[in-house]
Amino acid sequence: MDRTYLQKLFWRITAVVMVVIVVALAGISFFTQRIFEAHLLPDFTQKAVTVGASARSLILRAVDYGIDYRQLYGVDAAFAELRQDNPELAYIGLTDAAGQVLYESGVRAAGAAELFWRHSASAAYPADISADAVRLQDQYLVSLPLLSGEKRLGMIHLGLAQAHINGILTEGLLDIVVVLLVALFFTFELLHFIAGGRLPAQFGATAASEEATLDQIRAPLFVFLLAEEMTRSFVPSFANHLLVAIPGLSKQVVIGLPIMLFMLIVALGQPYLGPWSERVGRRRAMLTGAALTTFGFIATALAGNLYHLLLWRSVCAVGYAMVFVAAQGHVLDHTDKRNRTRGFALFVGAFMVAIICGPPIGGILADNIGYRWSFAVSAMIVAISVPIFLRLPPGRGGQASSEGAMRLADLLKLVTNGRFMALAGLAAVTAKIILTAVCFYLIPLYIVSLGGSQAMAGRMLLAYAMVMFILVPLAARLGDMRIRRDRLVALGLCISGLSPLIMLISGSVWMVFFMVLLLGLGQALAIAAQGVLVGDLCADEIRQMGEGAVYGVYRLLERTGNALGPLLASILLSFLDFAHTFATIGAIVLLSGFLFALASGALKAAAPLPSPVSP
Amino acid sequence: MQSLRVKFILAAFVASFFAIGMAGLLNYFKFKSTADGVLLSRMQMIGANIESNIRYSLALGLAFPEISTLPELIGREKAADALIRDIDIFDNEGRIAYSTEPGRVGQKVAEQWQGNAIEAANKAFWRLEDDAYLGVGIGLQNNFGVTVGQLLIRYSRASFDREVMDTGRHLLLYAVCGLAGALIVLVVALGVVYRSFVGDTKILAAGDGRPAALRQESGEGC
Repeated sequence: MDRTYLQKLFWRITAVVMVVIVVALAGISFFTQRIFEAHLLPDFTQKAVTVGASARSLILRAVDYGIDYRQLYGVDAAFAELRQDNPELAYIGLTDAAGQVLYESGVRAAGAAELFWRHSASAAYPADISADAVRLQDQYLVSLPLLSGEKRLGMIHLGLAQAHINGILTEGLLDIVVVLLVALFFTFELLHFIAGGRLPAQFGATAASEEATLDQIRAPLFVFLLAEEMTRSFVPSFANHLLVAIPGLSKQVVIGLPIMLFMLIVALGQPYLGPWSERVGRRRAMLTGAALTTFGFIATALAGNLYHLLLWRSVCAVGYAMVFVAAQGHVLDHTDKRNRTRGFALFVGAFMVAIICGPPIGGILADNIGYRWSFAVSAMIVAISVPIFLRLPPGRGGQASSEGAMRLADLLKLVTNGRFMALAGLAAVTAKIILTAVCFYLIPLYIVSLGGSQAMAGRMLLAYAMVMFILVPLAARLGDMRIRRDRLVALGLCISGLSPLIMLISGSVWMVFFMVLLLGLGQALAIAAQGVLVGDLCADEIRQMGEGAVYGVYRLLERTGNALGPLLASILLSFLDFAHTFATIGAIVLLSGFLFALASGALKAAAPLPSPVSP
Repeated sequence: MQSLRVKFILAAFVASFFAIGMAGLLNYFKFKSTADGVLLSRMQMIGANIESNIRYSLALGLAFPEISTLPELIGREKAADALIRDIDIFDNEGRIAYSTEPGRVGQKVAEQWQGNAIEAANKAFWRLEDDAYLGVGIGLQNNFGVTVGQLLIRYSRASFDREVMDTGRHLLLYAVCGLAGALIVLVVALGVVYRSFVGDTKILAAGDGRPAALRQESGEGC
C-alpha cells in the first residue's frame, strides 16, 4: 500500500466532499435568493418612493412657477441622472392624467403602458404615496401621483430591476468560490491529519513509526501557519487605521513597520532559536511558540495605536520563529539523507496550503467582522494548534549540538565569498524583496486605494499561492532534467522583475491579477532551483563549515530580504505613486536577474543534491 | 477499520461545516450590508434635498441661523418618512440651530456627534450608531467651501434589526438543513469509497505472501 495509492484515496474522498458541498450550496443559494428578494424588495421599494418623491417635488415646483406640465425641459436627462445614481432603477417615467408617457428614461417593461392607463383611469386615484410594487415582467413598478392642489397632473413611475436584486447574491459568488477552494485544501489536510500517518503503519510499511512521527508535524504546523497567513491581506490596512505620526518617518514607512519588524525578528531569531529548540525539546519549543503567538494575536486585537501593534506583532514574530525553527528541527530529527526531501516537502506543503487558504479567508473576515475580530479568530486558530502539537513526541532535549550551527565567523566568511553572495545577494534576497514588497505591502494597500475590499486583496494573494503550488513541483522537475539551475534562477528573477512593470500599462485590478500570476511563475522558477544551487555552488564551504552553517547563513540572508521588501516599497511609495513604485521594484529585480545571469557564467552546476526548498 | 470510516466521515463533516458555515456567514453579512446601504442611501437622498435647500439659502445671502423656511422643510421631510426619528441641524460649536423637536433648539449636541463630523471632514457623509437609532450626517458648506454646520438625520434601527435578525434566522435554517443533507449524502457516498478501499486492502492482504496470522493482525489494526 504505497503513498501514491493513499494520495489517490484522499483525493477521491476530497472530490466526493466537494461535489456534495457544491450541491448543498447550490440548494442553499436557491432558497437564499428567495429570502433576499422577499426582504430587500420592500427596502428598495421604499427607496424608490423616496427618489420618486424627490423628483416629484421638483416637478411640482416647476408647475407651481407656471411652467406647463407637458412642456417641462430636461426631465429625461434628470431621470437618466437619477437612474445613474440609483442603479437599481431600470426605468423612470412621467405620465399625464390619461396615462400617456410624457417623459421617460430606461427600458419600459412590457405591459407598463396598460398599467399606466389603468392607474390613471382608476376612480380611486391614490391621494398619497403608494409604496406597493407591481410586478411586471422583470421589473417591480412603483407609482406616485402628481397632484397640483386638487388637479390631477399625472403620475411618476419607477421600475426596480429584478436582476439588480438577484444580482446582490451573485456579487458574493466570488467569495463563495474562494471558500470552496479553501475547503478543498482544508479537506485534504484534515484527511492527512486523521489517517495519513497511521494507514501505512497498519499495512506493515517499513520505518512506519518514523514516517508517522514525521507526518504528525503537518497538521499542527498547517493550523499554526494558517492563523498567521490569514493576517497578510489586512495588516497594512490595520496599521493605516492605527496610524500615529513618527517624526522623521513618512506615513508609508510607518505603515510598513509592522511587517518589517515581523520579518526581521523571524530572520534574526532563527540562528538562536534553532539550538534553543534543540536544548529544550522540539515539542516544548513549538508549544511555547504557539502560546506566545496566541497571546500576541489577542493583544494585537486589542491594540490601541501603532506602538501597541508593533509590540504585539513582535511577540507574534518571536512565537512564529520558535514554531518555524522547531518544526524544521523536527523534520531534521526524523529524517535522514534518504527521506529528507520528502520531509521538507511535507513542511513546505503545509506552508503552501496555509498561504493558499489563509489570506483570502482573512480578507473575507476583515471585511465582514473587522480587523480586531479577525485577529481574535487567528488567536483561536493558534490555540487549536496547541493540543495538536501536544500529540507530537517530546523530541530530544539536552545539549544543543554544535555541529552545523551557524557562527559569526561563518557568516563573515560566506558574505565575502563571491559565489555564495552572487546567489544569496542577487537571487535569494531579491526574490524575497519582491515577494514581501509586492504581495505583503503594496497589493493590500493598492487594492484598498482602488476602492476594493480586503477580500479582493486576499484573492490576489490566493492567486499567487495557487500559481506557486502548481508550478514549484514542475519547476523542480525542470531543474532535475539537466536544465542548468542557474539559468532557471536567472529566468525566474527576470520574469519576477518584469511582472510589476505591467502596472505601468494600466492600474486596473485585472492588471494586478496578471502581475501576481507572472510573479508566481517567476518565483516558482527561481525558488525551486535556488535551494539546490547552494549545495551545488558551495560544496567546498559545506565540507568545511557543515551544511547547517552554510544553509543557516543562506536562510538568514534570504529572510533579511523579507524585511527589506516592505522597507524598500514604503520608501519608494513616499516619493512615487503606486504604479511607479511597482515598476521600480520590478526594475531592481530585473536588473538583479541580469546580473545573476552574467555572474552565473562563472558558476558550475554540480550533480543534483536533495535540498530543502525555501518557503 | 470501522473507526477509519468514521474518521473519514468526520473529516468530511468538518470540511462541509466550514464551507457551508462560511457561505452562510457571507450571505448574512451581504444581506446586512445591502439592507444598511439601501436604508442609508434613502436617508442620504432626504439629507441631500435639505442640504441643497440650505446651500441655496446661504448663496442668497441668508445667514445660517436665519433660514426661516428650514423648520417647515425638515418637518415635512420627517413626516414623509415614518422611519425618521429626528432631523437636527447644528453649527460648528455643536449648538442646535434647527430641529424637528423644537425643544432641542439651542441645546448642545452630544460630543460623539461632533467628533464623528470632524473625523469625516473630507468625506461626503458621516455616520452615527446607537442602541436605538442610526444616523447619517452631512456637512453644510457655504459658497466658499467653508463648513458652517452639520445636518443629522436620525432614524430608527428597530425595523432594520428585526429584518436582519429574521433573515439571519432563515439563513441559519438553510445552512443547518444543507449541512444535514450533506451529511446524509456523505455517509452514503463515502461508504461506497470506503468499500472500494476495503476491497483493495483485502486484495493486498491476499497477495502479499505474509502468514495469515500477520495479515489478520493488520486487518484488525484498522
